[in-house]
Amino acid sequence: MEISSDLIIIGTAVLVAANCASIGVFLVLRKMAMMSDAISHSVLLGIVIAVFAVGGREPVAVIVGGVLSGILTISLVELLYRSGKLKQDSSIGIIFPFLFAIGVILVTQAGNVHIDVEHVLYGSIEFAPFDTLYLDELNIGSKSMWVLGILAIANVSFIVILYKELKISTFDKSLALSAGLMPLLVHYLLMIMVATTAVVAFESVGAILVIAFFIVPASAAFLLTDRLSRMLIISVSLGIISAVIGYLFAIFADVSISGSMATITGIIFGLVWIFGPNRGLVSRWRRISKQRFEVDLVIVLTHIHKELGSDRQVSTSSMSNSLGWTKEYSKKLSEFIQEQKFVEKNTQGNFTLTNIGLKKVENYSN
Amino acid sequence: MKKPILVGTIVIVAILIGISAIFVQNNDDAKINHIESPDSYSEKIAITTTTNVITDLVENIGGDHVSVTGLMGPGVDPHLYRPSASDVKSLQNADIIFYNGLDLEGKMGDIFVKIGREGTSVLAVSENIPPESLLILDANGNFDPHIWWDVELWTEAAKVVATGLKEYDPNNSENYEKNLLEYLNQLDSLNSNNLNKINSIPSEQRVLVTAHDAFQYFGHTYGFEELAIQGWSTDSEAGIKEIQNLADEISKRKIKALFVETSISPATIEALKAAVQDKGHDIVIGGELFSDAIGEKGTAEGTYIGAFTHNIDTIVKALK
Repeated sequence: MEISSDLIIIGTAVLVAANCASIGVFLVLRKMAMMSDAISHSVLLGIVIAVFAVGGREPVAVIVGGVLSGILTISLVELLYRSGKLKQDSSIGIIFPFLFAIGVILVTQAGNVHIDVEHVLYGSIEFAPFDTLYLDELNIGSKSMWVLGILAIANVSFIVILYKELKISTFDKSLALSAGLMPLLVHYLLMIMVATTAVVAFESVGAILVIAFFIVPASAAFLLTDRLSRMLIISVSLGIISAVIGYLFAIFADVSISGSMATITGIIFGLVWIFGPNRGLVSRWRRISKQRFEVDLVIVLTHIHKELGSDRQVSTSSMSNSLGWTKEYSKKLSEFIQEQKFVEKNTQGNFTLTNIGLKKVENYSN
Repeated sequence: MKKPILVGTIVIVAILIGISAIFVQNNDDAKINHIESPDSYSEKIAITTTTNVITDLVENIGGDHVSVTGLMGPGVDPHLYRPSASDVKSLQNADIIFYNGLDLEGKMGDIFVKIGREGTSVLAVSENIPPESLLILDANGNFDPHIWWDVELWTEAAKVVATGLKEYDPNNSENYEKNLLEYLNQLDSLNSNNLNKINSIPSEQRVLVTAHDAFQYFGHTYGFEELAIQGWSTDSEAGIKEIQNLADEISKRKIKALFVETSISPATIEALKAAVQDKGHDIVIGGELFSDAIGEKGTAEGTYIGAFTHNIDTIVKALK
C-alpha cells in the first residue's frame, strides 16, 4: 500500500491534466476559456448554501453545492449569450461576480460564519499523499487519485462517445443542427462536465492548478495543430509535461508544487508561442522576412534593368543610395543575385544583367 | 509537418516520466540509507507543527530531544498558508504532528486526522480543553480557535504536548515533565505580569479594535471588549456600513488607539482610522499585535512569552 508521495503527487497532477486539458480544448475552441476561472469564484454561493443546509463543512455537501453553482453559472452565461446581445466573455464577466457577490452577502448576512472557499473547498496537491480514502476502515490509497481517476474515465468516455457531436457542434453549429446532432444538448452536457470537473478538481488540488490546466495546455495545442484529435492529445501531453517538470522544479526550489506546475504551463505556452512551427513568432518572422527578400530581389533586378536602359551604372553602393537600403542589406542582396547568376560584376564594380537575369525581369514585368 | 510534433510530444512525455521515476527511486533509496545509518540528527524526535506558536511550545517542552519543523512561519495567516514541496516531506517524515485544531487549519485538519489513522502520532493541542472553556466564534456555533491568547488555555496545550512526547519517548519522560513544569511556571508569571500591566489601563479604555477577531480569548481573560472589523474568515471584506458604525462607536467612546496585526494587511485599519478622524475624534494606530503568528525566531518576539509581552506592552502603552 506504500506508494511514494512523489508518485502520488505526480500521478494526481497527471490525472488533473487528463481531465482539465482534454475538456479545456473544447472551452478554448468555443471561446469559453474563462469559464473555469468564473466557476472558481461563483462556487462560493453554492458552498455557503451547502454549509448552511448541513450546518458544517461536509465535503460531499460542499462539492454538490459547488457543482450546482457551477452549472447555474454556465446556464446563466448561456442564457445571456444566446440572447444575442452579448459575447461570451462579457456574459461570463457579468454572471460570475453576480453569483460570487450573492455568496459574499449571504456570508456577511449570516453574521460572521467563517466560510471561505480556500478554507472550505480548495484542497492542495501537496496533501494528496496524505488524503487517503477508507473503505470499511481499509486504506485503499490516495483519495485524489481515486476521485480524479474516475472523473478522467468519465471525461474521456464522454469525449470518445460524443466525439462526432462535440466536433461538429464546436466548429459548425448550423451543420450540427441540420444533421440532427442536437448541439444545444451537447453543449449543456459539455458544460455540466466542465462544472463537475472544475469543482471536483478544486477540491482535490486547489484552484490555480485547475484553472491553468483548463486553459493553458489547450491554448498551446491550438497553436500547434488544426486537427481536433491531435489538439486533444497534444493538450493532455503538454499538461503532463508541465506536471512533471513543475514537480521537479518545486522539489529543486522548494516552492509550492501547484504554483510551480501552473508556472511551467505558462512557460511551455510561451515557448510554443515563440518557437512553434507555422504559428510561432519566430517562424512567422522568418516567413515575413523571406517574403520581403523575394520582393526586394524583384525590385533590385528591375532597378538594374531600368538604370542600364537609361545608360547609367549600378554598383552595390549606388544601389543602397537609390533604394534606401542599408549597406549590409545591399551587399547581401548583390551577393545573392551574383550567386544566382542574375547579374555579373564588371571590372569597375558595376553590374550587368545576364540572360537569366533579363529573363527574370521580363517574367516579372509580364 | 504535424506528425513529428505529435511523436515528439509523446517521446518527451515518456522521457520525462522516466526521469521522474528514476528521481523518485533515488529519493526513496536516500531515505532508506538515512534510516539504516542513524546519525546524531535522526536520534531526535522529528516533529512537525503548523503555526509558529505551536513550534515554540514544542521546542520549550521537547528541549534537546526534538527537532521541530514548523509549516507556517511568522506573518503567515493560516488561511492563506500554501504548502511547499519540503512541507510534504516534513509531514511524511514526522514522528509526531502537533496542530492547533478547532478548525484553525481548515481542510488541513482533516488531512492530519487521516495521517493519524496511518500510525503517526497526531495531536491537536486544543484537544483537552473542555468545551465550556471555549468561546463561540460564529452563528454556526463553531469554537474560536485562537486559544493561545489565553494563558490558561495554553497551559492545557502545553500539557497535551508533554503527554504526546512522553508517550512517544517514555525513556525521557522525566525530562519532558521537568520541562513542562518549568514552562508552566514561566506561563504563570507571564499571566501575573500581564494582569499587573493591564491594571494601569482605565476600565473604559479597555477596548481592543483590530482587523479580525483573533483576540476574543484575550479580551475574555483580561476584561477587554473586542471590536473587530472583519469576521474570522479572511475572505469576507468589511462593509462600508460596518466601518462607519464602528467609527461612530469609537469616537463616541473616545477610544484612544487602533491596532494592526502582523499577519493581516493594515489597509482596513487605516480606513477605519480615516473614518474615525472624519468624525473629529483623534485616534492613533497603537502598534502591531501578533495574532495568528508570533515573531521571527531568534528575536525577542519569536517566543510565545515574548510575543505576548510585546502585545501587552503595546496595548498598555497605547491605551493607558
